[in-house]
Amino acid sequence: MSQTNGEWVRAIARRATIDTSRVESILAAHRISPTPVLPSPRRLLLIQIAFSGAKDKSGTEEPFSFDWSGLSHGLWAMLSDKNFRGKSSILEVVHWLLRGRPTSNLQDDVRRWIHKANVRFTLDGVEHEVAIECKGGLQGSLARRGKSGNRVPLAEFETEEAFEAVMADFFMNALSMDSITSWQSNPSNSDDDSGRAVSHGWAAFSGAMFIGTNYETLLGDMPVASGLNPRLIQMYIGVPWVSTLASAQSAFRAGQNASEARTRKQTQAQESREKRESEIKEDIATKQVELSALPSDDELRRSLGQLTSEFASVVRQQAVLEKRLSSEVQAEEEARVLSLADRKELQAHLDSMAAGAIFRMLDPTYCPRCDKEISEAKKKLEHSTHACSVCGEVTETDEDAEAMKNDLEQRAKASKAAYDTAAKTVSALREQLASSKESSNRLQAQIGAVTAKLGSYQRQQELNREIAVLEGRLAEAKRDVSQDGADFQPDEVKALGTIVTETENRVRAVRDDLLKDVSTRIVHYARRFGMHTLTEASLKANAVLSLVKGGTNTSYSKVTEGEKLRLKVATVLAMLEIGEQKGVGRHPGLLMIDSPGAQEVSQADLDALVSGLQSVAKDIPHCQIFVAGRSSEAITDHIPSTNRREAVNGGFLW
Amino acid sequence: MSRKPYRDALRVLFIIRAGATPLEPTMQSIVSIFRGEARLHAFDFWIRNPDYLAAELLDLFEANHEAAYLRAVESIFANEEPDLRRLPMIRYFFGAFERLDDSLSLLRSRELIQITGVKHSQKVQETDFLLTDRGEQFCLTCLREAPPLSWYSDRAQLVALIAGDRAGSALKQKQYERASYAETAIGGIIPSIAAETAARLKQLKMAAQEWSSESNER
Repeated sequence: MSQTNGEWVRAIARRATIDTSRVESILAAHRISPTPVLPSPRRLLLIQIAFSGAKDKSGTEEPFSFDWSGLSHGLWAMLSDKNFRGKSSILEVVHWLLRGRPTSNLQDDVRRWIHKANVRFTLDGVEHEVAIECKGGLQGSLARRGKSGNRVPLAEFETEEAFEAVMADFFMNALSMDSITSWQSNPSNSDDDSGRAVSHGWAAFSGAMFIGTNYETLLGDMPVASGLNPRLIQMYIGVPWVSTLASAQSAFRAGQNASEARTRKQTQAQESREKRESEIKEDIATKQVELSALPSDDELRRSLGQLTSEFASVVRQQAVLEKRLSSEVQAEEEARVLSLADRKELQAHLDSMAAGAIFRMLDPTYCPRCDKEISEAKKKLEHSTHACSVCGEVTETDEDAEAMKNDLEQRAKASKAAYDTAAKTVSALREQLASSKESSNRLQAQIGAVTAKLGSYQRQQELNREIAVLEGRLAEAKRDVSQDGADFQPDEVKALGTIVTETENRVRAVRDDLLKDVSTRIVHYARRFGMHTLTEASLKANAVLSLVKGGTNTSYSKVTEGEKLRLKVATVLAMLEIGEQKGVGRHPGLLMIDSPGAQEVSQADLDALVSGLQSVAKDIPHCQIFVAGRSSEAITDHIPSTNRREAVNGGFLW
Repeated sequence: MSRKPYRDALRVLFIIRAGATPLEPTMQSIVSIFRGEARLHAFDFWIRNPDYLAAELLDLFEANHEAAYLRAVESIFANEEPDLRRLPMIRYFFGAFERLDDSLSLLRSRELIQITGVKHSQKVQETDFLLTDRGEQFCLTCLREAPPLSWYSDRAQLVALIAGDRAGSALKQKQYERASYAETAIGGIIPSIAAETAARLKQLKMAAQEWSSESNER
């Protein structure tokens, strides 16, 4: 690597703060080559144009042959007094053979009529010949003629594609041109692909040698929308580093694009990952809450055991209570019956006592048995002996009855007390039993509840398993998505940006001076082509040509077609001249100007151009200019007949 | 239980007094006449079995809604009479039967009653009991001297009220029917119907309250 290149790489490394080796690997990866010094311009000179075939007009074939040899530097003209006499076709054939592919301007019938064509040219004095035969399929060859006149074949081709590739290879190498990569934005501008890199080569560059009838762009024939024209101008002017810059810019934009896409994707991935994580975390939390609400199985079994033993003890206690109650109830009933009997007997005794007392107030008058009146003697005897006046038995006294009453009262009281006690005992036992039954019912309910929960053991296992699965998923979701399939390393886009910056600096250093010089010469030549009111021109790096015409600011795109044509020619000439002076520039010196459309460019304009060119051709000795046009005095006055091919009286050039 | 001849005699005396018809003063020293031995037995049954009496009173209450009957039944149960005053009887063929000979002879011996019979073709068809002046005086003394014994008098009067002028056979038929519900075997003790009668009382009291409130509204 040259010293300049080394300096460039080190500057990039410094600016991007990476190793020079890293810079070199990035440059290699993106096929960015340094172009600090351009080889000196190469010169192309046509020396023979020849083609032949048969015109197929209304079924009859009319053979023809055109051969224009002895060509050299200077101004050349193809003229006719009428249009459509073959001027443009000559120019188009040359374009076809040099480019390897016909342009759309070559009429289809003309293309079909031509069976053979060859163009001989010198490149820096070395003669070359490209020859094709195109009746039926296309085949042909490119050859160099040695100093001794021997033919050295460089390439042969048998298809149109091969022809184009051969010519492109040859001229790109011969003229030391580098293909230009440009970034084409994707109009649909979808997220994934917001553009693509397009490589332009000889097909684009060759356009700078031909001026057709479309004056849209200042140089060449690529549409403005291609974004290629600024590069083309810089390339032809011969600014060093231009192709490097183009490659670097293209790679940088691709990198930015990829990086943006990746960032976008990563952001999306990050967002969806975070969403997924939070969803999983939520799931886990929900399940853990459910799990924690479930008591552990051991606890349940322990609790169940305790409850069961409590229940058993309560039930045992109940059995004892019931047995006791049953015997106490029986005792109570016995006491009740006894108490009742006692009270009844007391009542009977009291009644009886009272009745007795009343009755005793009467003495029997008659014997209840025989109805005989009872004697006074018997009544007296009874009073003294307490012997019955009727039967003689001892009569019951009040004392006996009183004693019996006391006895009965005691008994009734005692049995009533016994009954009350028994009733109290029974009632207490019943209460105890009721409370015990309440306990057993409660325990039974608790046992039921705990037993039901025992079923939750399975759910517990299930939850534990589900949580484990979710945790696994969470860990998986958390794992950073690696930068899979990334074409660009993280430092790469930054490095490419730095490469662009460094290269741009180098381009700018020489470009602006060159553009200024070219601009000055554009004014010079345009004025010589009759644009006398043009006072200033300024060609910018962005291919915009600003003008001051008649004291008014204007630009290339705003002037008339005739002026555009003259400015296009002036631009090529200016580049050729500056290139010659400074030893830069890539234009090979050949310029073919097609006949301007009559409506668009006036004959006066063309005359002015031709007369200007005639004198200019003398100033720039290595240029060769062909003009196709309608015959006029102005042209014939300036171009000697030896340099002209003319069709007169309505005839054809071939 | 020991014999209570005076009490039993007094009960019979009060029955005769309550159920007797006053006599024209044709016979000296006789106040009134109680007709029929079967009737005497029927009266005695109701006094000795307060639960049957209560059931009879409830029948009457149902028939004519006289609140006094209901109050009487309430009082019977409130005083535990079915338990304390019950004197079980043996049932005999067509009704409760216990010979009252002892009580009657005791009353006769004191000249408190006289026993007569209407003779039809050499056979006594009906036995009647005559309450003497002496018997009437004895009853009054008894009520004055021994107030607790007034229960017998009161009860006898209630029974007489219920019995009305129904014949003894009719009364016994009624008692028999009620007792037969309790499926008493012949010769067995007449069962207590206290529990069912108490339940009936409760039910009728509630109904009575509703009836009374309805009638107030009218």
